Amino acid sequence: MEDFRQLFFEECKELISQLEDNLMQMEESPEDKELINSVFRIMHSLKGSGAMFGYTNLSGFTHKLESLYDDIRNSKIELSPEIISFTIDITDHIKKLLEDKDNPELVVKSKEYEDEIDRRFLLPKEEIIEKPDEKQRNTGKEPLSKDKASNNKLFYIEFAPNEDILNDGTKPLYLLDELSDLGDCIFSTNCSALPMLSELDYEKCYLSWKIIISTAENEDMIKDVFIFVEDDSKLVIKLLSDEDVFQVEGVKLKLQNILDEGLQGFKGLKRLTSIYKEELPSTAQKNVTIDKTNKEEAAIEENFTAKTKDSQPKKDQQIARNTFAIDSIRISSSKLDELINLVSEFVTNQARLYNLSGKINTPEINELSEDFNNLARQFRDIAFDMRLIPIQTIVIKFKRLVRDLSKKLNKKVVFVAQGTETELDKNIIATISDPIMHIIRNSLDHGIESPDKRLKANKEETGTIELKAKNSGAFVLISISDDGAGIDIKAIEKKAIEKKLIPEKHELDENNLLNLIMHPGFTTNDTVTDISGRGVGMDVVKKNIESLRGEVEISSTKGKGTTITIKLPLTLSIIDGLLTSINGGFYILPLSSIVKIYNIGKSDFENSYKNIITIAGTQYSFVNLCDIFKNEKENETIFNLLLVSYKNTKVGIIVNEIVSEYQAVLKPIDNISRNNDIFSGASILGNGRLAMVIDPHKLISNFGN
Amino acid sequence: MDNIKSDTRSYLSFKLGNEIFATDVKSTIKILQLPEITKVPESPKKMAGLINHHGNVLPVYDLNKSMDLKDNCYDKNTCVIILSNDNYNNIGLIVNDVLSVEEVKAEDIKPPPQIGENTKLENIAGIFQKNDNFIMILDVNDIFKQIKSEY
Repeated sequence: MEDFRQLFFEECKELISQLEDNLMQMEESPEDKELINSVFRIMHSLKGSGAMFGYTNLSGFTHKLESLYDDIRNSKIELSPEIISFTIDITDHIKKLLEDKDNPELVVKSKEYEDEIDRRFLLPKEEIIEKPDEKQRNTGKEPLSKDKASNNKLFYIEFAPNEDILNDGTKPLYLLDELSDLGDCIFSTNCSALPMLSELDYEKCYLSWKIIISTAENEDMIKDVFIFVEDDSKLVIKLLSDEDVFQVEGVKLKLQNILDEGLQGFKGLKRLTSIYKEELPSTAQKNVTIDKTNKEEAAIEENFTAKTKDSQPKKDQQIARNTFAIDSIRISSSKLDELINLVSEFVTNQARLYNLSGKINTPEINELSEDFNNLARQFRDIAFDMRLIPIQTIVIKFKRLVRDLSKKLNKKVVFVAQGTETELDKNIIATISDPIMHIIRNSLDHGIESPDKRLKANKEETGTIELKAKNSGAFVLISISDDGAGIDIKAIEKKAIEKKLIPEKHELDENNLLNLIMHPGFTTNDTVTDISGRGVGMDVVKKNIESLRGEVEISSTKGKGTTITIKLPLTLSIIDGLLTSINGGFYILPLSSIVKIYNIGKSDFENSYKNIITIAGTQYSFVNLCDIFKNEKENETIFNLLLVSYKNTKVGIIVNEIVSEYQAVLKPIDNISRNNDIFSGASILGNGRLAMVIDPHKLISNFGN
Repeated sequence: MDNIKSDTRSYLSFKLGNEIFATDVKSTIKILQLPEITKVPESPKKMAGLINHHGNVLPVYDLNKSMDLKDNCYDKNTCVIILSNDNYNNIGLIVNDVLSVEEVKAEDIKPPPQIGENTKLENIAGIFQKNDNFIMILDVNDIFKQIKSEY
């Protein structure tokens, strides 16, 4: 039961974020039919699953909204900005409702919303639709099915839920109720499975149903009704007739009898309906009316391309849908975490095997070990790929923030996002969301000026906040820029001196001064933030990003705007590394940061001036790890220089031997180094020994000159 | 400390240098024979290095150094005891010899003396006497806190 509820919540959350995204886009391009369709579908799903889990409030107004958007996509109602912003309000309401469905205030509010839709948007239309002939009274509230009465089809449905369906919290009657929303139904309940009263288990569902429905919807829509239960239940949906033979007098009653008596199977029913078809008011005339249907309806028809005319394509479609169902599955993230742990163990053990095979050195084992190595690599890549999710998932939140906050602040701001398909590890995404939110809030609050100020400064009235994401090697760069007032570096300098953060006579360049705003002692001062045009808490942003092994950089031009760039590693726990030895100990450097490796001699660097080495005609400054990681054993004769890209230049790192390429499973270590964290973790080697994983950037910034 | 039924507590006693210390068995989760210790460059003096403990990386500290006891060489009796704490990750302590588990009545535990000789007293929770020896109880929380705060 709880599992299902959880599933429902997750599904709703996903739907809502999709909905928000659609609505934001809709504000920009109200013409986009696909968006309207999508909103319609979301409302439909929310309504359906809401009703199933007893969120009747939810299904009330989502149903109204569904109708509204149905009318919009049929061009009966024009999509107005009011409708969009109303829907956005409702989205918030749904969120609240999901958390606390029985809150009386929310219940009342739901009712109000429901009425409001009727009053403001729907009502006039409803009156027009009230006219059509008798039959439509039964079809219920769906304007679509009413309007297209002549296009109704008959479907035959057999629904036999799993005995335990009630334990899962599903109420079959809700499903049938929802089904009857789609069109006129004949229900026949099969009670033959009911045991004697003494043996009856009241927690089990013994009933099954046979249903004939007359609907304008296609098979997919019917299937949607059963979407949550179809896995566990016996469900048959077949097209019974292309024509709506319910219109023939007395047929409904006859079909009901046939169903109840269970004398005829599907084939018999099909034969019967084809007989009644003849009695329909002139099929020929009907075809004409279909031809006459206007363009809009043709467009809808196109949307329902899945509509089936005969059984053959239907079969194909069935197969197609089945494969689709397997295409994507929902997995709880704890299982993924577990998988990653196992993969890490696997990779570590593989290294042991590799080590062993080197010792035993028989061709068979060597081959096996190499195969395992390849497998482990693929295994690892796929496992990590599973945890990658596109940045898009959090961008919606930012759009929303910009929209709401800019209205509140009376500023005109557009939010542009680029490269949102860039993927990052799930855990990283979860952690960066808040810092980015904070940066954007700062931009809105302090960066972007009010419209009249902007006009005075010869800028466009509307400010822009831009989020760009892109891959760069093993990193992802996310930059957030605004075209606002920028940061006043002079003011920062003044304040920093005042607060004694820097001496009066300092040699800091502009960049360093800018980065002072991320200093904890600096940003907590409110008056500064007003002058500098940045908000509080940049130190927290920095700390959060650095906990992910990321970096933050600020650049700003006064009057032109500010850009904050966040650099993040793709994933947190396994890196492709280069295993090296330094004075007998093992160290791993991330392969992604290494540009080139040179074999060098001791004389090449021993007496160099200011740690500068000349290689192939170019001078590089270097960090000699053999010197820094000194220990008693110091008779190494082999030296290698790893060329690492650092900021805009290349810096050398001197190590002893290069052992091999190595997939390092990063094990966290508490900050063991006193004043710096040049190690991002430790990794267990195949022989059980440990190797420290070096963060070359930290190393260079700490020891470089 | 919440042993209500009997006021006896269990302590693991061990040697650090020539002194005998003890830790509450509740926070002592394992005794290991001296494993291979990987030294970490640029780390504080009292940190001996890292060990691989069933696939987890644990820092190991040498209290001989941090308590300014005489530096003793590691021998075949040298062990690592692993300590746990609710608020921090586990750590290892290098001890020169593990002795035994002592059952001590609460009233037999005396507060640490005002003047210490070899050790900073902030790490000592109490002292009890066994035969002719005084055994100092290490305050594990305090050790964790101290280690953590020094970075």
